[in-house]
Amino acid sequence: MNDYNADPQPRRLSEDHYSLDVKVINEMGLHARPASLVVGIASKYPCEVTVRNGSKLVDAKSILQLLSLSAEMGTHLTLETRGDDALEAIRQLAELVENGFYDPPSDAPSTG
Amino acid sequence: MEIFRGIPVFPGLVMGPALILDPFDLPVARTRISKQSVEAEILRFEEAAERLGREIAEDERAARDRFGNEIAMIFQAQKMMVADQKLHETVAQQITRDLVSAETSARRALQEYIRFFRSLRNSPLADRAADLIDIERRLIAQLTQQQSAESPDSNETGIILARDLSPSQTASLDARRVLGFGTATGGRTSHTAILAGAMEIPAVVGLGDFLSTVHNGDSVILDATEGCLIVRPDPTTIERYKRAQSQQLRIEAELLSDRGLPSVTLDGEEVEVFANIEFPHEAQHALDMGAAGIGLYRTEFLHLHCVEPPTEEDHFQAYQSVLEVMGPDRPVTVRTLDLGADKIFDRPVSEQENNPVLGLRSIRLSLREVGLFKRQLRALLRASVFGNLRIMFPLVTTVMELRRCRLILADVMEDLEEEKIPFKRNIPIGMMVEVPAAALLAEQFSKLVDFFSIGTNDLIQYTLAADRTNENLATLYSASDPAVLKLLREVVKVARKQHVELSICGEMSGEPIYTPLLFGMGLRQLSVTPHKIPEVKRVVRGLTRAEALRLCGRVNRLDNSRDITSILRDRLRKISPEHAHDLE
Repeated sequence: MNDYNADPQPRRLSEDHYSLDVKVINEMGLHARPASLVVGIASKYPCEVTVRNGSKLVDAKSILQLLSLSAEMGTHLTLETRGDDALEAIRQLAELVENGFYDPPSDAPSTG
Repeated sequence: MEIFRGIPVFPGLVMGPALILDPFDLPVARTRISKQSVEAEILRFEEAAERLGREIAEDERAARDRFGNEIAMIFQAQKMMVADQKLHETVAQQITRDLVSAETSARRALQEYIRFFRSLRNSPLADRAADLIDIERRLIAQLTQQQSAESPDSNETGIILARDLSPSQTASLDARRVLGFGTATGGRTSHTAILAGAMEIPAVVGLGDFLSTVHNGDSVILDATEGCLIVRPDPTTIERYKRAQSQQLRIEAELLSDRGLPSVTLDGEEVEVFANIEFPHEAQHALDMGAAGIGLYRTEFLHLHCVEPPTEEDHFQAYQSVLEVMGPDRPVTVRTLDLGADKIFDRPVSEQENNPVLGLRSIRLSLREVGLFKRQLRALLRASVFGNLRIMFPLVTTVMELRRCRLILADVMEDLEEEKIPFKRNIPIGMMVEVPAAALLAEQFSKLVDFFSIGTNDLIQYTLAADRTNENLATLYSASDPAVLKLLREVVKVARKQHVELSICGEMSGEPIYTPLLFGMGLRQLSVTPHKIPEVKRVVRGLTRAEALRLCGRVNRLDNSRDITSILRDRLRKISPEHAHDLE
């Protein structure tokens, strides 16, 4: 596991606004599978969830937008959640990052 | 009559009417709507998207049954795209704001993404454009309630011609009615190429801009052995092809009826003929063609043509299924990841290189991305209990690389032991000999492996510094080159002395013209494309050791590939007269 993502700590920007810096460590970049996992989590929460790659900001509830970030391996991304359940949403996303997007699943530490 | 040249991806010779598919020629019924119908129009889009989602789910299931998980995943991603929230928002907004029809709006929204993904030329994401084009076409078909523009519904038999074939188009074609495929774009690793190979339908891709000169129903000849498409052939050409075709059919029928015959020379020496495969489901076909086992199972397919890199489970299932089909005894040699320069589209953009053929690829990539490598090895070891597995490392150049491979493999074994996961401990380990450095140091390498497999495609390319896909160098790139043959002899000598098992894969081993020479040089294991097995075995049955040795002696005295090819051709004509036609 890449050290950078080993212990992702969300930052609290305001009461219901959090952010998390991550680095893309998948060989193929942020491709369809990890993107779909992000969409899956983001869509569960009412809050706004965005992903930023440099100056490009997209809605994390859209697979097409996430893919169009064309984030290659090594890219630094910033995830942000804002609104109801923002903290819970960012925690879930942090867990996904920590587990390397479950890629491969067998290497993923248990999430208990 | 007009002739177009392209890249043959599955051989064969077919004649028939042109059936043209054009994914861009979409019927768009209405464009403008009234203010009152905005809501109804949005609902119409939502319903069409939902129907399409169900249809794609159906495709996903069918593809999984027919082709396995790898292809099914293409549809899985498409399903998510059709349901995309942002896409739905954009379409609804455009309908409301611009008073355009659902068709127009959907098309506009999707085209924007298509343009964007297309612009990412060297990224794996560029392939997503093909998915979106597919979705666009099918969404509009849903909206107009028409059967989609693709022609599999027609009862006509013919040769499918298109700019490019989308995954759903190709997968839904009825193999019995499709004589062949010809596409303007695409390369050896395009969806079309892979599926044509899986369906065993003659196909030529990359024909260039030929669609403007051909009309639906025109008579065409697709020569997927040579890689050309002949539009409106003249009577002489038709006659010539008819003769060639009937001869080809006759030979194929004869070969198939002979396939159970042993692969033994006239004087009783056995030559084992194995199959090179790419997809798990090809294993059964290889058996049907009479393969003694799998001599080369390429595993790149798991990485290409998938939406995402394979998981350990994806690897495992593929290997397990091949091993189970081949049974407990027939060897299955699996080559670890060999992503190469010609598959550049599937590499991360960050790793673009000036000279990718000489770059970070194959085992070099595996040794750098150890996580990826270990995942594959782990799956291989887990699968080893299901049959006679052998593991082979590609593009090995230095002894240090091979040592590192073995260390990593030992590491993975240790992990499995700790986790109490069963695997075989005595799996034969081998390497491809495809870099001249490896051939020259075969002696040193032989102490670290159980077997060698000579990969002629790369060995020729690296020895002669000639790209095999470069048309201008077609005469330079030759398996008959004396320098290449000298390296082969060296490897054979070492393998014999050191008692290392030796086989040869690559196109050369499946070309009957080389069978007598390879036998004479001392090779007793050939690994070839499944459909070449009966032909190669037939040539083997016409050989004798004494004659083959004499042939070798004559070849060794020649100093250029042209003369060597010429005497090999004469030799083959004597052994197998039916090849006379092919060799003209």
